[in-house]
Amino acid sequence: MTSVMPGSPRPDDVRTAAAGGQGPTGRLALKKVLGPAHIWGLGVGIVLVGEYMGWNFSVQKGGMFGALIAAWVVGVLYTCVAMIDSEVTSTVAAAGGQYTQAKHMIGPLMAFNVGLFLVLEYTMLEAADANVMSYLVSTIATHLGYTGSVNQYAFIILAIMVLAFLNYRGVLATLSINLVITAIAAIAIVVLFVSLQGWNPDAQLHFAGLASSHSNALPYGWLGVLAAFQFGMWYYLGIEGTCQAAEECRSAARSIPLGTMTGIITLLIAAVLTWYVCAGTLPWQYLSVSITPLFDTALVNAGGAVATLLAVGTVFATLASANGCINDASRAWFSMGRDNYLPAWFGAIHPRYRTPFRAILFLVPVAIAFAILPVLLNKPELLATVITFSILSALLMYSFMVPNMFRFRKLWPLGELHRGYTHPLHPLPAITLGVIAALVLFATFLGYGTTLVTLVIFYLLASVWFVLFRYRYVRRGQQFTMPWPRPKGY
Amino acid sequence: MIVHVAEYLAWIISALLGAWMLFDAIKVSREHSEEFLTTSVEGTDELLTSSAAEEILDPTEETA
Repeated sequence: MTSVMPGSPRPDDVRTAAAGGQGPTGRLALKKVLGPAHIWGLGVGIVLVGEYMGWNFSVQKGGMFGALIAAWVVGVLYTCVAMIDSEVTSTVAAAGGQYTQAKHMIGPLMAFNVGLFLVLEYTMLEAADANVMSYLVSTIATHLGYTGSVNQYAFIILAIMVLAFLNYRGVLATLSINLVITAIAAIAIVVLFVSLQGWNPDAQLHFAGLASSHSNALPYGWLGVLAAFQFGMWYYLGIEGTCQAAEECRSAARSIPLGTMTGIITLLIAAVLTWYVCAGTLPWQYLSVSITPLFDTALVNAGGAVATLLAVGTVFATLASANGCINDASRAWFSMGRDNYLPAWFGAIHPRYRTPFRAILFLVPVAIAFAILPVLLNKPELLATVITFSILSALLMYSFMVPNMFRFRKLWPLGELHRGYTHPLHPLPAITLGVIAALVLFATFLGYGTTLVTLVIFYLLASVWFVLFRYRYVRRGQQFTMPWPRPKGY
Repeated sequence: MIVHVAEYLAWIISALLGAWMLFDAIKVSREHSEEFLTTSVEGTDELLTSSAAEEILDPTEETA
């Protein structure tokens, strides 16, 4: 007989949770209603805004080819992330994603830090999305002939409140909407490619200058390419957020790998298509500072209905990203509360909507504060700092995933634990992830060294707080409630 | 003009949604005990068909 980990749930508890609601024991559970398409919508939805804006700053650092190389190299990093997350999370049907992985594989202090990385990554991204949303409203108003200034606070707060309300009321509607608007935003990129006859580079695109001039393609040489990696993250940042929905999937073992892997495939294609149509239309000096490069490309080269579609795609991608971020940040915060890493008050589930309602509400003012900061201080450049907080938190989390994967395969070798997906070539993906994450961290340090140091000090202080004041509340046995076999060597 | 109306609408909708969520959260917290609201455990799914899970769901163990 296989022994079961200490702290495993009583059989009636397990059945109640599996049923997905409040059972005879009165135990509440998150609603199990999601399928692979919702997971795709969540993962791609968080990320796709990076194709619509942000990735092009890599052109400023590394030129046209630098941006393309960044898309490839960082694409490999995220393919490794998707493979590793798909395997581990297909066994961990729990909210919290990488936080829960850290809890099972490494220990409380690592789990606490990973939980904070997740919350900061998604909340900062949500704040940036809301800020951008208000900018888009201003731009649309200007295009419609309005000459005054738009009150950005009103639209920043509106975006966050509407999406928080959606998330509060239930995960199925939230992620169904995400699926639809993300699909429209993704299709818009394909429509732009088709309208520019992308399969025929001589038709409407112009690559001659790019191929013939070194200063146009790689203006700062290989150091520029390295620096471009930091903004290459925008093509894919957030795909790992699919793991946060594991507890709400009808079948995490099926939905998480399917949704995550199809998600990263979509993003790889979208990244290259985006680079291709933008690089073939806009001069690099303009592209590198454009706020909405895809829309600008459509405006310059396609016009009319396609430009309108790309404008809609930009708004939808921004909304989908903020929506997914609220979903993910709240799940991470909720999981930490449930395990007493934070006050247990945050671990509450709404008895009617089955959402982590207190975690969702608590993070609303945090997101609003960071979203309005650049407007309040009249320093638009602060938006880049907010986004860098998100990118760096994500990078620190990817660094954790390397030892995590090794430990997972060691503690539960293949055959010992049923996996919904097993990634090939282990340990190659984990090693590749570690090497590229280190490179991108170095590249980010070159551009945002002070921000990186500030963030590391913040996490150190938070860790000290956890060890001194919070660790005593963590019930190490009771936090493991999944029916896993005892780990090898224990 | 339309922009001003949109701004006012944005403030009103935000206030209404925020107030509703706060009101509902307080109401739920008053109507249900804290033990009940925080009873969830890590999820389970069809992985329960694995051998370890079958053991957990073993009725003989349940009555033991």
